[in-house]
Amino acid sequence: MRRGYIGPKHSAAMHLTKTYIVEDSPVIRENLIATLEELASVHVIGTAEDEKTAVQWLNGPHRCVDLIMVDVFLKGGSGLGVLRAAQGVPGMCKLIVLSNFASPDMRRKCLELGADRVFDKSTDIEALIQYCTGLAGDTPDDCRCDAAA
Amino acid sequence: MHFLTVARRHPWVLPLAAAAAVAMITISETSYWHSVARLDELSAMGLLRVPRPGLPENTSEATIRTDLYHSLTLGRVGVAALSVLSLMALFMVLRQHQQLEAAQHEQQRLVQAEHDRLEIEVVLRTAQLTELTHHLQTAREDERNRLARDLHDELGALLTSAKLDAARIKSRLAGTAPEALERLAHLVDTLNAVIALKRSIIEDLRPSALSHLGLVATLEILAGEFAARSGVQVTCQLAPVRLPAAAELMVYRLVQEAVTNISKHAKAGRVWIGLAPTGDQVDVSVRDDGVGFDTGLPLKSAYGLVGMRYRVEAERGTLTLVSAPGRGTSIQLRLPQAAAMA
Repeated sequence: MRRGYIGPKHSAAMHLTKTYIVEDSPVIRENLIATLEELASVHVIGTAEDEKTAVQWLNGPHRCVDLIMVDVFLKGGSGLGVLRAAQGVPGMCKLIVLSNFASPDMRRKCLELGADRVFDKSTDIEALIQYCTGLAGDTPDDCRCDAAA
Repeated sequence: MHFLTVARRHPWVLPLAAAAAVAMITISETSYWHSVARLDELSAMGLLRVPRPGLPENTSEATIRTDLYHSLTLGRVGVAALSVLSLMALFMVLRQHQQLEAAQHEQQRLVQAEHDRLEIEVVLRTAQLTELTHHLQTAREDERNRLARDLHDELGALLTSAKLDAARIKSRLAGTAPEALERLAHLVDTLNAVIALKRSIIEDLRPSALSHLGLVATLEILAGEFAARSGVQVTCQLAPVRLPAAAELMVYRLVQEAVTNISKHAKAGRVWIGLAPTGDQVDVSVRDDGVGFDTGLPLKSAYGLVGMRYRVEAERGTLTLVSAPGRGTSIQLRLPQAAAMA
């Protein structure tokens, strides 16, 4: 597991958002993990680069997660399939889509499939970081898996 | 063989000529025998025995008789020979004429055969050209798709990565180096400009709206962009139609090519774009009120138009172009509509 740099502004008491990332581009994945762990109090607990692996993980026994971040276009399958699978899993928290093609049509489709937010990979990076920072600050108790576990 | 063929070929001329020759010979024979009979009579009456000075009596009568017989026989034989010769000459002329005719027929047959061969060749070549154009267009679209995908995936990932780095640098610089933050903001602006450029290049390479939003919306976007860019007033009448993906792309490219031509050549004030289902056909039209051109004259750069025509044919459609100087241009496309979804 990758160890991120925790910035000095995060207090020890602050909750770290346990995050699972489904993203097929290694360049984006590496950088995204580093950035979110540094800036947004995110702790990435696992990644997948295709739909099959992601769905297997979702149905597995260790679904201890606050946030799932899904890319729409994947090496195998599609992020939409991951969204569908995530809807069926109980105890899910935030589900966001990170896409390189965030057309209005695509946004609508993702929201219909249960996504909480849709971010464009190139233009919504700042908004994504803000959103994740916000999650770390006020994740409701019932959504925390350490509370559920 | 020759005689029979010629006789069959001219059922009237030869018998008529033969009859005329026989009549001629008959008349000549009759006249000969008549003259001989008269001569014999005259001879018997002794009328030929005219005394002539310097000639013995008996000799002169026999000589005159023989001379007259000779000249009568000569006339008789001459008429018969001439009649036969004329008949033969006529036959020769007819035969030659027939041979000439046969030669002409043969030549005509050869020309026709060559013509037929060329016709088949043209049909074959046209089919090959249509196929080649289709292949080239497919190859071009594939290449564009590959480029668009690379730009989208590879360049997109690098740009996202750069923006993530920028966000991290911004966080670390916060409150410590205001000038550096300013430069960073500028860098982010530049990155955003690159992202916008990348998107417009991708959209131009592969109209992603086509697969995401459908043909009608994509044509509306195209028309809107063209109107905004050129200042031409564009009127769209677009109804949803059922077309295979390849045909949709062809229609999009055709309208794209048509509006490009309008902005380059037509000097138009208004443009009408239509898309409508008509029974099991789809009608597409692009019309302008520009300067038009003479469709009979060869165009200086007609490759776009020729390419268009072949692309349309490859999708089993027909393309009609109506234009005249000063009367605008109208491009009409008719395509078979896809079967209704079950």
